[in-house]
Order: sequence, then structure tokens, then C-alpha cells
Amino acid sequence: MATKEELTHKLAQAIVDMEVDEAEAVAKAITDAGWFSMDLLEKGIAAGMGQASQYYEDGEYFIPELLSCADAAEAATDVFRPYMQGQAPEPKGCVVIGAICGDTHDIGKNIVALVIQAAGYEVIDLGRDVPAQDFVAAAEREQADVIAIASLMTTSMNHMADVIQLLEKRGIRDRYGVVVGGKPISASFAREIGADRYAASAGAAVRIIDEWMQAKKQMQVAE
Amino acid sequence: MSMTGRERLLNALAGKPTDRPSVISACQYASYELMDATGASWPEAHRDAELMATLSGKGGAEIIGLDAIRAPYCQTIEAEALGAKIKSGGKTHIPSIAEHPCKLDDTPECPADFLERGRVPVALKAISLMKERYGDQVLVMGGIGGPFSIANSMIGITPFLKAMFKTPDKIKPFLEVGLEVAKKFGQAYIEAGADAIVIEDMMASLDMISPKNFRTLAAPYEKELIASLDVPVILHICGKLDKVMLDIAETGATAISVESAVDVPAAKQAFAEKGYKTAIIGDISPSGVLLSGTPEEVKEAVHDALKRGVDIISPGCAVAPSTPLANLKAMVAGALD
Ligand code: B12
Ligand SMILES: [Zn+2]
Repeated sequence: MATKEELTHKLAQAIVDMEVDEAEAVAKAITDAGWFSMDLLEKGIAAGMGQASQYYEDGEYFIPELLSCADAAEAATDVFRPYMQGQAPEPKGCVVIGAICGDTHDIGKNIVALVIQAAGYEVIDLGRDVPAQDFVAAAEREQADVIAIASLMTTSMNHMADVIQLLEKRGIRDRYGVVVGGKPISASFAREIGADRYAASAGAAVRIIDEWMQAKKQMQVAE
Repeated sequence: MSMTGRERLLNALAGKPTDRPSVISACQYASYELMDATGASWPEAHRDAELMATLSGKGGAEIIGLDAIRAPYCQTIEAEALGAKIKSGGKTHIPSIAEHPCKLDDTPECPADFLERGRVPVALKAISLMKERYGDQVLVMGGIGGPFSIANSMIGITPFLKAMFKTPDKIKPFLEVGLEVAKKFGQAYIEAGADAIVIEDMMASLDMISPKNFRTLAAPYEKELIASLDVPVILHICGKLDKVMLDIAETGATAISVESAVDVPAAKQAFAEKGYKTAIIGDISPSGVLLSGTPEEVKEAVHDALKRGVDIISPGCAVAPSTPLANLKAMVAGALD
């Protein structure tokens, strides 16, 4: 019989290989053996999704592949969910994410959300076509660390600035890191609207959010 | 020798000499300033042939000074005619699909009265009005979606992409209907007076699918569509296409419209080696340059594009409606000096 380590590895591999049924079956084998523990989320599911998103960034996987990996990860997570009660690990931070109003493109945003979550953050996904005030309200409600805004269209990108203006108006701009992204967005556009950072890919988004959290911790220590 | 825009563009498409570089906008170019200047605005112009012809025709030919004018602005016309529910974009946004007409397991078909449905007659009528008013000066282009993109819009992109991967046989019927719809629409435009057809197959981008899937599921249908259209055809696909530029040329398109992500000199070189005459249209960045640059920067981008071997100047993709009119005019001015 397979060991727990072997099954964990097999789970990650099933996710990378887009095998939804296999991922579900391996997850069941793990819970049936009474081996469920929270680190499986990291070592099995997040590891598999991490590898998948690496393949995507390297141009080896495309969106259909990545979406299918996400389905496999989802299937395994569903099996684990009843066992996770009350044992949720401390997330690295909380990120509120959404596609700005007027924009119904969400494939890229979903990928970013998936990868940030796999990297250990709590992600509040507001969906698409999200008005500026909803970003701010959710960030306040969830006491989030970062607001991540996506725009895929030159018709909607200007509305990203509304979120920042609203934060300023309420005097809460420094509470949040604001990260923006999407095809027509650039670092200079991000600066122009007063966002903190721009990221061109999901991997880059995780790196800059990690940096942001580091900086925030240091500031808190300094205070 | 001074040429009309029409002569200039036809020559440029055929690889013949021109008095100066040709400037068009392969994708939509309606802007808020253009709407104010022509008195024809969204959302009304999406559903009214006279307004569509005015915004596109007067706006493109008289105000911006393009060598070609095109309609429509939006890529949901085919989906709507196939039964999709559309959400209006109001004055500032573009319409979008609120509900797709089919599910993956359905057997799709092209309605016999496709040409009478939704906004299809509006776009056709707009083209005939534009031809009547401007046809001797500029080229009149009818815009359609590519078979792959139309097929996508019938069931939604996410289910489509997943099925592409797991049950490719299930999406073939949708691609067939996408092809049939595009053929009908394209031929009807030509009958209405269109001098050229622009196919926007934005979903067939390598941002979305692998080169392998492009070759098996997008290019063959594009090729068959292009073969059925008896006028010059411009094929627009978004994103970084370096790995499939030869495949795109092999669809038989007269010209390929690309974004600045494409390595134009490399593509030209590859075309030359194969003896392909396909023109490259592009690649002025709609957001980086046209929307947020100065007229001077736009002109520089035009000069730079010409230096890299771009044959016909155009925004690399759809123009943002908030683009300053001065920048659209600067794109034309950049080709004058
Ligand atoms: C798929 C797609 C659609 C799908 C969207 C499905 C969905 N659920 O998302 C559908 C069919 C619904 C669609 C609709 C429309 N679309 Co569309 N669409 C595209 C397409 C083909 C691909 C976009 C995509 O998903 N790319 C793949 C993802 C993974 O890339 P990405 O989003 O850039 O994300 C990456 C990075 O940018 C980054 N990132 C993304 N988000 C974020 C967020 C943060 C915070 C960070 C840090 C990073 C980050 O990480 C991601 C992963 O690496 C593009 C063209 C193209 N090839 O790019 C057009 C495109 C974006 N669409 C366009 C248009 C015009 C429309 C429509 C208006 C069509 C119409 N009605 O005529 C409607 C929009 C309606 C609306 N109001 O929103 C235009 C936009 C033009 C412009 N000037 O702005 C494009 C460029 C195509 C075109 N040439 O016309 N579209
Ligand atoms: Zn494009």
C-alpha cells in the first residue's frame, strides 16, 4: 500500500496532469486511510497548482490546461473540505480581488486568484464587473491587506482609479496595498492612477504581494 | 502622384507602390470624441444603421482621415443572432453577452434567417450606406468574428476551452456553425457593397490556446472561410503570435493585423523565405500609445512601425473609446512625413 508521502505526491501529480477523477480518488484514499492533515493542502494541492501555473508561465500549458488543473484541485479540495473544519491554517494575508466595473473578463483574474490562494493567502473574490465602492466595502469588512484589481479593456481601465480615489476620500488609502493588472495595464499606468504596484502575471502578482506583506510587517514592527 | 485612400490601401494590400504609407484601423475605432463630432453615439449606434454609418463613415473617412472605414464596433452581433441575451454597455461601455444561447451538449445550427436576425441587418445596411457615401474615396470593410470566436460565444469561453481539451469532438459542431455563420455574414457584406472583410478571431489567440490547438481548431476554419470570400480579407488575432505567423499566412488572408507583441521583422523574414506576400497591418499600441501617449509619441510609434517593416499602419487592436481624437489624427499624420 502507498505511503502518505506517495499519495501526497500522487495528488499533486494528478492535479498537474489535469486528472479530475484521479485527484478525487487519491484524495479519498487519503481520507479513507485517516491521513488527512492540513499540510496536504500545501504539499498536495498547492504544490500541484504551483507546478501547473509554472508550466503556464513557461508557455508549456495554456488556459484550457490550467483550467483543467484547477478543476482537479477543486475536486480534491471538495473531498478534504469536511475534514478541514476548525483547522484552517493562518493565511499569509487577505487579498480582495475583482475585475473592475464594465469589465466581464475574468479568466486572467481567476488565474491570479487561484495562484495567490495556492500561495497561502485568503482570497476574497468579488467576481467581475465590480463597482469601486464594492472593492472598498469588502476590503473594510474583511480587514484585507491588499486590493487587487483587474481590467482587460481600455474602456474599463480608467475605473480602476475610482477605487483609489474612494480610498483616499475615506482617508484609508494607507491601509491597503493596491495591485493592478490585466493586458492593457502597464507599470506607468499603475503609477498614474496611484496604485502601489503592477504585475504582468499571476506569478509576479504573488511576488509583489509577498513583498508588500513583508514591508507591512516591518512597518508594524517599527511602530 | 496623389492617391485616394482606396487606391492607396488596395495597392498596399497587393504589395504595390503607394504615394505614402496607408493608415487604417482594422478593429473598431469609434471614440467618445468621434461620437460628439459626428453626433452619432453608443449605445444607439449599435442598433441604428444610419448612426452606425455616420459614426464609422464620417468619423473614419472625414474626421480621422483613414484609408478604410469599417463597421460594426462590437463582437456580439453573431452571438445575439444565434440567440444570446445581450447586456447593453450604455454610452461608455461595449455590449456583452449576458446569457449564451447553447450548452455543450446541444446540437447547434445556423438559423436559416440568420441575416434577418438582431443587429445583422443593421450592420449590413450600414455598410451599404457607407459604400454609397464614401466608396469612391476609401475602402469599405465589413467586420465579422472568426469561426473559432463565434463558436466560443455560443457556449461561453470557459466551458469551450475545457471541452477543447477533454471532449474535442463536442466542439466540432460549434466550429462548423461558426464557419457557416461567418461565411453567410461575410458574403452578405460583400453583396451590400463591402470591398473587404475583416475577420476578428480574438479568441484564437495564443493568449488562450496552444499553437497546436490553433493549427487544428482555428486555422482550418479560418482558411475555409477566407477561401469563400471573394474580396481582400484582413485577419486580426490578438496577442503574441510569433509561433503561428506562418500558419496564419497559410490561411490565405490578404493581410494579418497584429499587436506590438508580434516580432514583425522575424515574421517578414519568414514570409520572404516562403515567398508569402501576406501584408502585415499594425501595430500601434491602443493603450500604451494611442490612449495614453501624446500626438508626438503616436507619430514616433508610426515611424518605428514602418521601420520594422509593418506594411499598413493601424492600431494593434480595438481602439479605446476614450482615446484622444488628436492621437488618432496623429496616426495618419505620422504617415505623411
Ligand atoms: C477571452 C476574452 C473574452 C471573453 C471573456 C471570458 C471571461 N470570462 O473572461 C468574452 C467572450 C466574454 C469577452 C467579451 C468581450 N470582450 Co474580450 N477578449 C478575450 C480575449 C480573447 C482574451 C482575454 C483573456 O482571458 N486572456 C487570457 C488571460 C489569462 O490573460 P490576462 O487576462 O491578461 O491575465 C494575465 C495577466 O494580465 C495578469 N492579470 C490579469 N488580471 C490581473 C489582475 C491583477 C490584480 C494582477 C496583478 C495581474 C493580472 O495575470 C494573468 C495571468 O497571467 C481578449 C483578446 C486577447 N487575446 O487578449 C479579448 C479582449 C480583451 N476583449 C475585448 C472586447 C472588446 C470584448 C467585448 C467588449 C466584445 C464585444 N462586445 O464586442 C466583450 C466585453 C464585455 C465586457 N463589458 O466586459 C477586446 C478589448 C479591446 C480594448 N480595446 O480594450 C480584446 C482585446 C479583444 C479585441 N481585439 O477586441 N472577451
Ligand atoms: Zn486584438
